[in-house]
Amino acid sequence: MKGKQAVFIAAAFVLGFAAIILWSRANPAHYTYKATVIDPPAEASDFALMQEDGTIFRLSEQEGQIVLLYFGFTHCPDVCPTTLVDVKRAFVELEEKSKEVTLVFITVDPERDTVEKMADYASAFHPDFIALSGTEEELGPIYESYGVYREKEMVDSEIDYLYAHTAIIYVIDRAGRWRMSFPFGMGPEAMADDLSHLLKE
Amino acid sequence: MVGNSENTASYLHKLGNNRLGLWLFLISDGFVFAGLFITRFYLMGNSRPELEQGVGLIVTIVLLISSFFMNRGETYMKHGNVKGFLFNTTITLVLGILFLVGVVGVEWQIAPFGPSDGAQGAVFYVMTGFHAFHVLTGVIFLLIILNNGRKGVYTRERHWGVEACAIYWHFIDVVWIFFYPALYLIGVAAH
Amino acid sequence: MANDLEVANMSEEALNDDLRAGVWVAFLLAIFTIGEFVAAMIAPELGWLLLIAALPKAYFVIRDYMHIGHLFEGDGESH
Repeated sequence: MKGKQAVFIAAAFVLGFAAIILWSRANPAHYTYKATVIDPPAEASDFALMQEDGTIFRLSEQEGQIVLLYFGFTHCPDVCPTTLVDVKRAFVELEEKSKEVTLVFITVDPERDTVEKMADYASAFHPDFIALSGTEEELGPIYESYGVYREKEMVDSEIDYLYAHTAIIYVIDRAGRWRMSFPFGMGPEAMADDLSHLLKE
Repeated sequence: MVGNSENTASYLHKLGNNRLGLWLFLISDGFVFAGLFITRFYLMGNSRPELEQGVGLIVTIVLLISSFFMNRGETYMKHGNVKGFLFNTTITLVLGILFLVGVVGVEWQIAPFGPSDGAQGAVFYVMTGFHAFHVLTGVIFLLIILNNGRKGVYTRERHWGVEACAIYWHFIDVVWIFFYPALYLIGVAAH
Repeated sequence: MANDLEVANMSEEALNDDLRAGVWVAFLLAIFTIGEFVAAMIAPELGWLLLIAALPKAYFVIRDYMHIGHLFEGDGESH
């Protein structure tokens, strides 16, 4: 190893490294969403439901916000609490940016879940979560347009019945399109990653 | 101790075999380290253990410098300079011990996770532990050759012990050359 | 006639050459290590690049410190 060789190698290395770093800065890598991406984006059907405070929540009025639509019910033993906790944790990770994301929790069990019950339940996870309910007639078309599966299952306990239901989170972008779905169990870090990227749009 | 009756050709023949034997051993040892290295990426992917960058950089520098002095010590011995060999190899020893203090005495103590804390714990402690154990045996090896050197066992023509120790020491350094970025630099720190 | 002083100087020179070679390897290790550390701090998304930095470090240690070349010499050479 002679001096000249060494200096040459060192210089080549430094320049090579610098070049690669600068080039990658100029051409940022394509981000791969961890969610299930809907390509091309699908329509997110508009709907309107009454909130606890009497105001109407209309999906089309949420433009500019990312809306996370989740269908569940307050007697849900595990899936709904887990999902809502994960979203809450994702919000924590997003810090200030979480203000640009709205989680909307819609019941699949209108028989038992009044809007007050829903609001109570959801706010326990995060004060900004929006909870909606309505009549079977109001909710039916929403379930259908989002392809929400719900099936009543009788159980041998004091709560009588449970609902098996679609557990994905529908991710609707700022422009009101259904862009992707967060599968159950995706985890808060992955959600926060995807959301922080989607927020850049 | 090498007997005087042994002629040079026979010594050199043995030397060639010894080298081959040592390298074969290091390659097989290398497989174990390679397995751990690959496992780290399999278990943690683009995530990495949450560690102190300062400590990591310092111990890495210490180990690299120790290799420099090991090379120096061996070079002096290759030219028959026992004093130079002893001096530089002693520095290697000190730096090797410093490395152990840095990893086991500092990093292990301040790490915010334990060996049973999921993938992070398993990956970090097994990788650094297995490596540190090799550094420890390297330190013992260094003590042995320093002691032998003091007693005048090694000569310019015959110092296989020194060469073997040096090769072993550099091997440990090479392992760390890959382990350091894998543990400290690549990926997003887990919380 | 090769006098002792000449021989001593030549071997001193050989020693210094060898020592200097070792210094240059250390210099390269330092540059590569600093480079990979800086790269990790400013471009953490380029994980694979850091492994690329490790390869030349390993190469120089294996070639110039571990003298892997000796393996292929056969019996002829000494230390």
